[in-house]
Amino acid sequence: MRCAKIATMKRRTFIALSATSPFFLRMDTYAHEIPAYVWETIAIVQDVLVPKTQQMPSAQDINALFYLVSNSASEYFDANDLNLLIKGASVFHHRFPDFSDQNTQSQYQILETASKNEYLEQWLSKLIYYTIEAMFSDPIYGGNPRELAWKATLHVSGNPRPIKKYGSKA
Amino acid sequence: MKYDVCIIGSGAGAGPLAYELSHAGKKVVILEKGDIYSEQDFSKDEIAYTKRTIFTPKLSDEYHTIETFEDGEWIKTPTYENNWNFWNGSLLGGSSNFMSGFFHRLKPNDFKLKSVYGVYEGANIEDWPIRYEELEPYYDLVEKIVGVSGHVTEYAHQEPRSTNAYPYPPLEEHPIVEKFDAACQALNFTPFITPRAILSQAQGNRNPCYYSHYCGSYACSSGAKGSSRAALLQPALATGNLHIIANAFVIKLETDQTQKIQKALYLTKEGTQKEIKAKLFILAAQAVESSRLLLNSKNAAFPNGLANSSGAVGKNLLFSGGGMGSGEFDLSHFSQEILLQPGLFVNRALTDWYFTPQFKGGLIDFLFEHANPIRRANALKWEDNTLIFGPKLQDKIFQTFTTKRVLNFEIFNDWMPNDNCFVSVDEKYRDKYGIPVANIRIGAHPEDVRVGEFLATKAVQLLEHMGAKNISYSISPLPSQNLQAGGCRFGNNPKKHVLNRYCRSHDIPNLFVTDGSFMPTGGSVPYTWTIYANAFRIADYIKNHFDLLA
Repeated sequence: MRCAKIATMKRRTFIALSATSPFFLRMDTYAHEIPAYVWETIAIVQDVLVPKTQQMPSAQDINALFYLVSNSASEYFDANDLNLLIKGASVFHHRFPDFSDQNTQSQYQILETASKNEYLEQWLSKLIYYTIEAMFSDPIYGGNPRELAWKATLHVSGNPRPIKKYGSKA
Repeated sequence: MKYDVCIIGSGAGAGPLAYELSHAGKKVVILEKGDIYSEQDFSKDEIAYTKRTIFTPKLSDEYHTIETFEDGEWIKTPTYENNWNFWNGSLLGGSSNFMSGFFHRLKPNDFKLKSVYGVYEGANIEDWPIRYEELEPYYDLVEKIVGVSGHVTEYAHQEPRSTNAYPYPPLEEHPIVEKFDAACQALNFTPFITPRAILSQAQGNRNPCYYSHYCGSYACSSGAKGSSRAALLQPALATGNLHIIANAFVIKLETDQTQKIQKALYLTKEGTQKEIKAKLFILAAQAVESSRLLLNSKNAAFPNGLANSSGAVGKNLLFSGGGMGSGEFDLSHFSQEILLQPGLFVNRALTDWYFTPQFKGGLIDFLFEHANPIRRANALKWEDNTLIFGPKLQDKIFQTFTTKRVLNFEIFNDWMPNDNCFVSVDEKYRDKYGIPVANIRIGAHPEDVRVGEFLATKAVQLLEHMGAKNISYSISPLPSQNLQAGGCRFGNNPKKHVLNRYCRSHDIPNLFVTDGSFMPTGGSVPYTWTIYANAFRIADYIKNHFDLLA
């Protein structure tokens, strides 16, 4: 079960990254230097931070990793946030290298421990933020497929919906 | 080509001038820092409108420095470090595109605060050089041309009106107003129906409000919101006398040997410098940027900046005192269908304490929390300063979104002008074009917080009577950055005042400043209606005296 979960995560990471080549174009020289484990770490932590519940879709359901990777390629994405997300994932991975091997209960305990560290708390907070962006933004940005989160929470979106991203003219 | 009039900026202080002067046959050019958008370009996209800097410059490129008083000294911080964004809308129509349109007139005593309440120690309040009666016809004009909807509420501090009704009926209201009105009756408060610069009925090419559920912070897709762009610039363009140059960042006004402004120098998006010549120049770039431009335009004849022989440019900057609070309503108050009903307005305010016998009070506006789900959900991740996540966070989001609704209140009280609230420029801090940025020192007078606290107790009292839960509020000496005024006071003394009573520079005869910069005191209301009205007043003056002024 645990292995299957990791395998799924890795495939998801691969899909997210391969579908978003502009990110690598933007990140230019250092993009290829971001180890795969960084995105894998982000993906698996997102799953624990925002799990599926009886009422709510999970991080995977809402394409949280794809959303993050693809939108971080935008010129409008906060460079400091991107830096924190990447460096924080690296710090977390090295401090808790066995995180992905743990059962769910242990993973929660690890995140509780991590959140007592000021830097990792900032990282987790930022990761939750961008997962929530994926959850509640317009599906045009790549998250919230089929308006899953809006429907789950009875949220009525504004009208008209965007037909282009980032306020580009119609 | 030499235009009759060059207007710098296109927001509330600019639109009335462009509208009136182009209709009067003058050749007008607007230099707008941002791009041109129309209703078809706008959407209810939370990411674009509230989470990214799409309609304002990137702070890493163009920023301000903010001075705050910390541990006994003034600390200067560039806004690219603290993300405190003082840009409010770089696009045609400026920040009026994004306003909520809570429209309140000033009251007669707002024009003579010093005469009524005397001197506040440490505050530089002074009476205006004009009276309410002089501005009233222009408030009325704004109601008709920009479009104000509502119902005139009779209450203790009702200002005189030349008409007894708004031209547009009130917008549709959520049933929560029945609780509001009942609580007011029980407490002997007056339920004030808030006028809105939002059309409830069509006007020309502008469609009425369609209750889109996303209003404040969003540009309007129907043209119902009375932005300068929709209400004034689009009709002005139809005259054929208005030319708009977008993405034109004005960096300097140049004077000639007669000490008149001869031309405005601006940078294109690509950084190419160009110039525009005109007979009259009207500066309306919002208070902070207007002072910045005047200070950055210094030359041999005006070594302290243009229009600044008084040394008053940038001084006595105004924001709005007060703060905000909230109370929750849930399924114990309404059925889920009614509680979550989107789009409808609250449009209620408390104005009973706008003036008190002892001190100047203020206004409390009530509104539903904005719909923005990203902001609302993200705010739920903290409990007692501890991060929550997992099923606990998910359940909290679900419960909050499906069973609760927050009624906010916003307090507006006078920002006391003082020596520690001003705009300056510091040559050490420059934007990506190499132009010195505006430094904003933010010093608040203690009265601002004291009055805010007083008003908050009244709002809390009302929410308690309505049965709201989890009531809280925050009053801060730090301002909301979108409510800017002052910096170029008008008055009759050239040694003290930047502008005369017609907002014309005492020093430079062909320069007017028509955004909120002219205001010596701001009153206890959002400024937009007063800026619109005053700009119409100045437009009339220029129309009637153009040959003498040009």
